[in-house]
Amino acid sequence: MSPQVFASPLALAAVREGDDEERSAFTFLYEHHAPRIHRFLRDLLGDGALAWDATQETFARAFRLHREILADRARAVPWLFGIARNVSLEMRKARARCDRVMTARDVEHAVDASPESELLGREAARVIARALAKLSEDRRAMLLLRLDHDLSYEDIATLMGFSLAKVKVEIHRAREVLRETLEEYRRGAR
Amino acid sequence: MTFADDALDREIFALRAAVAPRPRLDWDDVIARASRPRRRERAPWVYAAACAAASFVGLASLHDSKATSAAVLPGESMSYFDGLSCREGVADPAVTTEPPMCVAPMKLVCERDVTSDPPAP
Repeated sequence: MSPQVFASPLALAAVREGDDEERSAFTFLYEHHAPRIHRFLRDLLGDGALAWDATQETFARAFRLHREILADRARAVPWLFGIARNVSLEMRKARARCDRVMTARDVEHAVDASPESELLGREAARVIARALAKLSEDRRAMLLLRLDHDLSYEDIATLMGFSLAKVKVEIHRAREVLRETLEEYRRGAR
Repeated sequence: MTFADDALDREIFALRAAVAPRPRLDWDDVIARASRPRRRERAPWVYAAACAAASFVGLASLHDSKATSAAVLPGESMSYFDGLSCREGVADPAVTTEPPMCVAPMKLVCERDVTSDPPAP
């Protein structure tokens, strides 16, 4: 086999035994977690199309390391969020540098929901968007990882590269902002 | 409020998550991206060497054009003339004082201040 074939991680993976099983396990990981990763990236990047691109890139990078990820499945989710955050930082930098304008593409679809939950969901999204806009990028990411994606403080500290104490304080402050925003919203709604 | 008291906050996020738009899954695109050869990480010295080469080529071409062209571009002289002729990273000359004193090391060795030269005729 030529070295060119081995240059592709996919081709290299294909010649190994048990690859189909690992691939289908990773496909399951993608189907199961892509919506969460996409929501996280949408909150960080503020753009659906860019978030879709970043989600695909996140899983492409994760696929290159799928053996390590699947070897420790309990750590797979924090790992994916770690990759997603790095991708989002790179995309933010690229967007700032090139002032890239993403064209709206058919990359998302709406969820079927009852009119009541649709209404509540929209109101919640409005409050959350207002609160997130007041937070720094780091604090926003930590709040989302904790409250929206249910990661432990320890996992957040590891993937953000901060101490556990810092993560707890930052999330506490971010939650105060969220509650203030919610209170403002309630007063405005009366 | 304690760190664990986040039921209300979680509920807001859960309400939103229930109606959040879902991405269109495209597994083939993930595979295509993953099998693309990655851009090689270059060592910092490669960038330094490239920068030095570009500076050298740029200066050389500027020098050639200066020799052949009588026109002087605005600001061009700034590259050639900065008033002082200085060198960095040069060992401090041995300084002896009487009585012996501690002499601060010099960062720059300025050989000659050309601004004090008499103007050329």
